[in-house]
Amino acid sequence: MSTISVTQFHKVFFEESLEGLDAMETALLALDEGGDAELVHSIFRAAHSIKGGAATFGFPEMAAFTHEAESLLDQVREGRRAIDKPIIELMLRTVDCLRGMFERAQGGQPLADASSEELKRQLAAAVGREVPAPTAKVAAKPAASNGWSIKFRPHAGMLAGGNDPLRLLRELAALGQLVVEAQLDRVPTLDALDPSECHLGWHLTLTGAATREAIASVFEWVEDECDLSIEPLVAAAPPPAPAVETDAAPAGAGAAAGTTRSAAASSNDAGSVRVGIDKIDSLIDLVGELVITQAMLDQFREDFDPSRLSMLQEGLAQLARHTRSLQESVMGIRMLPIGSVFNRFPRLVRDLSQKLGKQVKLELVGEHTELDKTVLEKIGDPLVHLVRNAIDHGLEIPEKRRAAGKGDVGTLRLEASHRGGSIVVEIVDDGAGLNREAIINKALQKGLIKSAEGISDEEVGELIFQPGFSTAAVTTDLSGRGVGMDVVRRNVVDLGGNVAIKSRPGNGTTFTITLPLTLAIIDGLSAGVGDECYIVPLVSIVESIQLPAEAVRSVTGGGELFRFRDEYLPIVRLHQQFGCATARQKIEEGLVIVVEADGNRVGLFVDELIGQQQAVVKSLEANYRRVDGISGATILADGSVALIVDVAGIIRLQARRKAA
Amino acid sequence: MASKTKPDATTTKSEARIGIPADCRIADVGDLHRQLREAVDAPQIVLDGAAVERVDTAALQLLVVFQREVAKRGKQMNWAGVSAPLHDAASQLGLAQTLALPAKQPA
Repeated sequence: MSTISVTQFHKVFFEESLEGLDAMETALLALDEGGDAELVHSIFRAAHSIKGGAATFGFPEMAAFTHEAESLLDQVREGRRAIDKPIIELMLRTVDCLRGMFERAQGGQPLADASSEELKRQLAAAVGREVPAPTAKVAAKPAASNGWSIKFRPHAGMLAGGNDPLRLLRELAALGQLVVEAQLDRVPTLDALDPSECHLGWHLTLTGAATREAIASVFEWVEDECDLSIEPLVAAAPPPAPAVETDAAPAGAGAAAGTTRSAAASSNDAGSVRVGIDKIDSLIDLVGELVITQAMLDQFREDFDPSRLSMLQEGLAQLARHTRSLQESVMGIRMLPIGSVFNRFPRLVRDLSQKLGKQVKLELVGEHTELDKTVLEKIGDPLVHLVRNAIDHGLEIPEKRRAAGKGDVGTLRLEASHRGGSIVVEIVDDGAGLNREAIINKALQKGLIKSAEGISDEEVGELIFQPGFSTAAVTTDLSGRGVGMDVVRRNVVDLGGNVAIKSRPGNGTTFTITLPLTLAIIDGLSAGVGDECYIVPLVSIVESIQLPAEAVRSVTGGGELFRFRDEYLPIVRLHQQFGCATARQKIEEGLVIVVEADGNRVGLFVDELIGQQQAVVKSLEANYRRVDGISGATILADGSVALIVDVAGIIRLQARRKAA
Repeated sequence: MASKTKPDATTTKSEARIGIPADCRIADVGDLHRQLREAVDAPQIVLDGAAVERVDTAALQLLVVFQREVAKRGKQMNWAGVSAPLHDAASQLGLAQTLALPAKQPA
């Protein structure tokens, strides 16, 4: 046995333990809402296996720490102690702390830090054992009054971008005692100076109880425009290092753990997917079917008799069916239920609502909706932003709700569902809705709009997605958390999705995130244009029609319009767009496919429709270069290449042509 | 920072006296930049910041660059007046010493 290194099992241990911690957290939250005693057992079991694993795999600090938690849980389990709020709180912090330990274990860093030692003492104190340290009380604050060393160097363009370091430094100074040392090493001569560029830098020392989060949030809007490093002051003794301070604990610590966790996860991204055994079984079944079909088709190779043609056709149809199912199943392996992302919200909502003195009921709907793993991993952070915003800015405190004639308890609903070829995630709150006036004022002040006149509610909603639109002053509290909605949108758009907002003044706000089901395969309609074949994504097709020549009107400037239902739509001739020489020219000889993207419609003129098919998307950029109006390529059954039409891109091109 | 306002300096004919405008921020620093470039060779340089109400990093950076330019030529830049907002902003950015600002509200 001794020749086997245990490190190879670490990964599995980490994964299982993190799952165990999630289970512990869920159970604790359920207990908090008055769950039954069985939950205590499941919490105990999770803690117990983490302790056992930690001892086995060589993490004695973690084992010792978990041991204390286990002792406390044991007392509860045996009925020697009632489970009450302080204990649940303590255990939740234990879960956070263990997560931190696992992260450090993955990074090969020492496991214990000041906050874990402190928490261990508190656990021991709760168990009633002799405590080896002076601070025994739960409310004890760690000696976190050291501070931070901040190196801040704006890029040259930061001043012109409207961000003034002076304001940032003032905000920092409000967080504690700030010592400023300006760096003048890059300052040019008077003649060479462009006064709108920034050549200064600063070394800042901030002492006080400010958290890293609080400091980072000061720089939130400028993080792309400066070089920034925030380091804990090293003057103090090693243990009270970056300390997750206990007073700002629940939300702060949880969020901090969350962000670092995702960073750690992405760093070894090649990782693994856990697949349900039922999915594997269905794959094996399908492969079995394929083998049978293949054997059946094989017979025809030996002696083919035209009388058996129908059997051959049936065999081929079967083959097609199985291949498609197999493809779906294999894609399904990458699909994970969105519940794994939703799971973090009960805790977040609980901590945040407690901190803000609001009462929030969280409803989760559609947790079983499955999403591509890549999409799932990247949607977590934007969702956290939106949920945080909804609780902080959307939902009101009980008094205000009562005054508005609503119940004390606000409702926050997270709902995921399939809609067409997309996954839709909605974040709905029944709070106050967007504060139109405050947003407009802020936008005026920031110079995002010229005047408040004629601004529709939709446009007001759009404003909050503008970069640089900080909600900090608009909203009441949670200072510095004015979260970057532009970042939320950017993240979602990067995934090929979109975010929309709908506000009902007095009745709440709805954010709708639309995401593609998967990034690798699309359903498309193949259309012939001249000798070429183009794929139009099925999701964007409204319908296809044949137009008589007189239905099309030419307009000045060379465009063509046709009447579709109650609107006139422009026609985009794909053969002109992509330069196909031999295509049909007359409208009545071809077909018009009405497509829609971002709420705009156009008619694509093609020669003919060939059929519906799935297209495996190959990147055109990776293999050739970017082409306007084309989103990718795919290989057709006969081995030729077909280009996939980028409907949104075509509509943009069309709009640009119209403007020109 | 010891002796800044020499009483006789302000009376010399070849003195360049520059008043910093009340609103001295990035949009308007171009003018000041031009004035300072013209003034840098004058034998005596006096800056008057008594009127300053609003000031930003761009303006203070410009003053720092000017100060260094003046020092490079072996001369000294004197302050005829420094308003509280100017002083606060310079201190906040850690530039008060470089700019040789008088302790607070000069005589």
